[in-house]
Amino acid sequence: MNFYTGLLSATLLAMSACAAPEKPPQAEESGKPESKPLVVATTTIIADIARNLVDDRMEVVSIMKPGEDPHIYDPRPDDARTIGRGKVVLINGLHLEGTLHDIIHNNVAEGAVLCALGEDPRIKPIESQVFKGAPDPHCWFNILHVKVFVDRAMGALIEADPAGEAFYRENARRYYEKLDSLDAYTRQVLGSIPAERRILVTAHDAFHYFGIEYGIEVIAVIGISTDQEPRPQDVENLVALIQAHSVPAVFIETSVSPSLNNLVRKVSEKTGARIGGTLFSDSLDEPDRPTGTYLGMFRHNVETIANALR
Amino acid sequence: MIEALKTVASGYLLELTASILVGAACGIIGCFVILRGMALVGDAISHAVLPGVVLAFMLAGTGPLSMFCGAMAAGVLTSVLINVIQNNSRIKGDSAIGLVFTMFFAVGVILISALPRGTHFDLKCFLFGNPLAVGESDLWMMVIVASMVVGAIILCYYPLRTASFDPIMAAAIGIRPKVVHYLIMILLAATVVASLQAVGIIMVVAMIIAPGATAYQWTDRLGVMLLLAALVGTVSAGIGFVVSFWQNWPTGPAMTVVAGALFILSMFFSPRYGVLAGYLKRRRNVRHIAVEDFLKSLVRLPDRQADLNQIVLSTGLKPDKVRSLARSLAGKGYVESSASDTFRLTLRGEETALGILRTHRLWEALLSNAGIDKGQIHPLAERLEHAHELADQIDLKLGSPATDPHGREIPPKE
Amino acid sequence: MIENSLEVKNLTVSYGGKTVLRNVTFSLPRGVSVSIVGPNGAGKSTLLQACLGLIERDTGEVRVLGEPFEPRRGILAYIPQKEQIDWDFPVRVQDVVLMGRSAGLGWFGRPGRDDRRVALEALRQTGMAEYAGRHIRQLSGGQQQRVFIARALAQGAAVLIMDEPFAGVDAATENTILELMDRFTSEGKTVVMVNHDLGILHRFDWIVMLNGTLIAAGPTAETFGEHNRQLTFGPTLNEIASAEQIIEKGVAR
Repeated sequence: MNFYTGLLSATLLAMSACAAPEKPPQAEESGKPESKPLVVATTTIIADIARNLVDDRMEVVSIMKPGEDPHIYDPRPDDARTIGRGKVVLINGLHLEGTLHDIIHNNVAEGAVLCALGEDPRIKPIESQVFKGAPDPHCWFNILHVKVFVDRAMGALIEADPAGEAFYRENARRYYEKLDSLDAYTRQVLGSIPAERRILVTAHDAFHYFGIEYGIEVIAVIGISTDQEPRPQDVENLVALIQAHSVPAVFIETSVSPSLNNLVRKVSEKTGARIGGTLFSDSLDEPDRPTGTYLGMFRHNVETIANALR
Repeated sequence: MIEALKTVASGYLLELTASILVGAACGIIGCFVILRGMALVGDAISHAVLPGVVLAFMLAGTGPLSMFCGAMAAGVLTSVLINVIQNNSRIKGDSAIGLVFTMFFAVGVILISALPRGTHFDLKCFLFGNPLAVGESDLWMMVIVASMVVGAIILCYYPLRTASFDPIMAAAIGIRPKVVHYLIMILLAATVVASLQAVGIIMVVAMIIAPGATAYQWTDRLGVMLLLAALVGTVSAGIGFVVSFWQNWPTGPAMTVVAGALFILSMFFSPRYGVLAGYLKRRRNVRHIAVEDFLKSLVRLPDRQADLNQIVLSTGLKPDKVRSLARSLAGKGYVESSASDTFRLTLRGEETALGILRTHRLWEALLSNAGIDKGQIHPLAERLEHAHELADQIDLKLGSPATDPHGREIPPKE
Repeated sequence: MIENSLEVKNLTVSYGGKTVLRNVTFSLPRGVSVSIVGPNGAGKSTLLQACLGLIERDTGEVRVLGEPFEPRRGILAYIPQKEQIDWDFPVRVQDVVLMGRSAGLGWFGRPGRDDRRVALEALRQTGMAEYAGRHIRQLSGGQQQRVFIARALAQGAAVLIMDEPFAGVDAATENTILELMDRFTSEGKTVVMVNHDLGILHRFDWIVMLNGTLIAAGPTAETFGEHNRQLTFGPTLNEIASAEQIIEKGVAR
């Protein structure tokens, strides 16, 4: 074996050692496998809502992990299997899970209940500013819409498990109370931001529903999907706008690519607006943290925004 | 457009400089890529660096230095592996290259999926570039790489030129072709890796090839070609950058499109090798031949005049063409037209026509001397007669013959 | 006084598992023109490449002017065939000839004024001085050959090596090459050519006959006899070996 073949073999070995995944790609599971029916959620936000409804009556599994970006999520073979095992499959809808669409519809089991939580007449989707006709899927940033999510999820659970109806209704009622209290808190905290500073600049356009409901103007480096490329003029326009309104702070996000966040940092450098903090947009934090629940995440966002803009 | 220029000048000079350096370095190394037939290899390197970059990211985070080292390691390994496959299997050349780089790229994608879930490796930026996000450390890397490329090529210009032109002779005088090959590969890999930030994998090959290809259309000298390529690369990147601001296009593709457009323009309009120049030259030739045939057809007749039909018959030109030629020649004083459709040579026209005849008959004498078969002589001379430059030389060589092989008098030089 | 221009001793070369040249030994005197002849696959090009150091030798040595061959000295010049050159490469005639001067310069050397003078002189000697600034594609076949010969001259080589220079070349160019060959040998240089055209063998002083191994080497008239011709162009060594095997087996029975 000559020098080059040896070098090649050594390197391929080294590369395959690194390529061995940390743990086999499996969805998170809580409780005993196969003993309880499975609720499959696409995003961590929906999984959290579902957990609040089912408690330990069913298992809840999230296809996406904390920190993953649903707009560009790359489906894995295991995801198809997981969806097939679900008694109830909950998705956001409104094209948020574009890459999972076919996998979901091809793999939902016979007799399982599939429900798109965001597709409901009570939720009026905002049209994208840039893509006419494409809805903005980030409706979970309006608490009233989340209540609709809860209602629809509850309906799906009842359909799959009629015996548990009372249980689910009670859990839903309790969760509504928490949501109402969060909504009141939000209005109070955001209310303390003076009118001329009510401008929220983020990496991608995830906060429009938030902005409309709570009276804050929202602008972003790129549009509603992280799939887009930042364009020079758009960045320039953003810089001009920030300078014109003397916006004090801009925000990076957790689940978007580092280069997009770097662009936000660049905008911060060019305008003098500081980085006000990190917001959670399309994903929750790790489940063991306070920001690992929808309530905790929302609270964190609200406080971060308020502290930076006040 | 002016607005865009102002915007760039006031806030994006760092990004612009990095892109311009990319254009220059790519242009320079691109000349050797073109002349040595390495375009596919260049494309291969741009894809094959992915696993190296991902590994570096896994082990050391996103600093440009670690990414650069990872990418270079993958690039060099690609080159080695291509050689191993070529020497130890039945496939050669582009098959080996195509196999290796796609395989490496696939390994890279798998490595990305093996990253801890929730970590972000931005494949899209890798594929399409992200010139707006260039930071100071990226710029420094670009400066170092560009200096390295320019420096190496200036220092080793003569052996690089010799080895690229005639590798056998180079080997015979002590310049090992393998060493030259690896040197160019390393410079190419470094340029590709440093340019990925600006234009991304898919388009870096265009930035490497287009400026060099453009320069090739304008010069016959390697040194000039290198300088021009650097210039064209710089200009393409600069214009592309500003255009992307003006039209709100993604910046990487804008630079690539400008580079390609400059090449297309050169392909058509360059004076020596352009399509337009070739076409004009051919047209001039055709006209030149038509004029001389016209004059010749008149001078052959004793009274130096003929009517339209006679000319059409003897030159094979269409009647309209004959008329328009006659008009233009009349305007220049070579021909006068008496009565309708009858044309007569002027004194000046007669002198010119005799010159043509002289060339024709000298060629015939030469061809006969060279032993060409008698039946071939006249048609060959018909084709050669328009090459007047050699007439005097032929005359000298043959010792000023008085008659051609057919016995006709060769007119003396005026 | 060094007698021999090129000495080859016990040269064996194989690639792809096959032995292409076996145990070749010969010495060429100075100032001769040499034609290497042999059938296809005889190893003629291999011999040239091994002398130039382009391919690995299994065994054997190559000496030029009494010393082991060192490429850097530029003492062997190689004149390529037309097909081996990229005629669109951006170089002018004078650039090509200047390449001959790179022999002693190493990786970082640049040709100086003296080098350019030598290059121009070489062009004059081959009658190509007025084409110095032209691009190589603009030359005729004969002119192209002369440029490469000028390059070999500029290199100051003692031995010029050409691999089938007459392949696909017209009579006038062939004549030019042979005339230049005569001129060089009269100046004490050695010109070695792989040549297929047996019709011009009389123009060469010496002949080297190859067929996988050396059949004969010596002055043309004495060496190119019937016997040697049979051995060179007759059945190949392999066929002889198989024939011997059959005879052996027949005898054993």
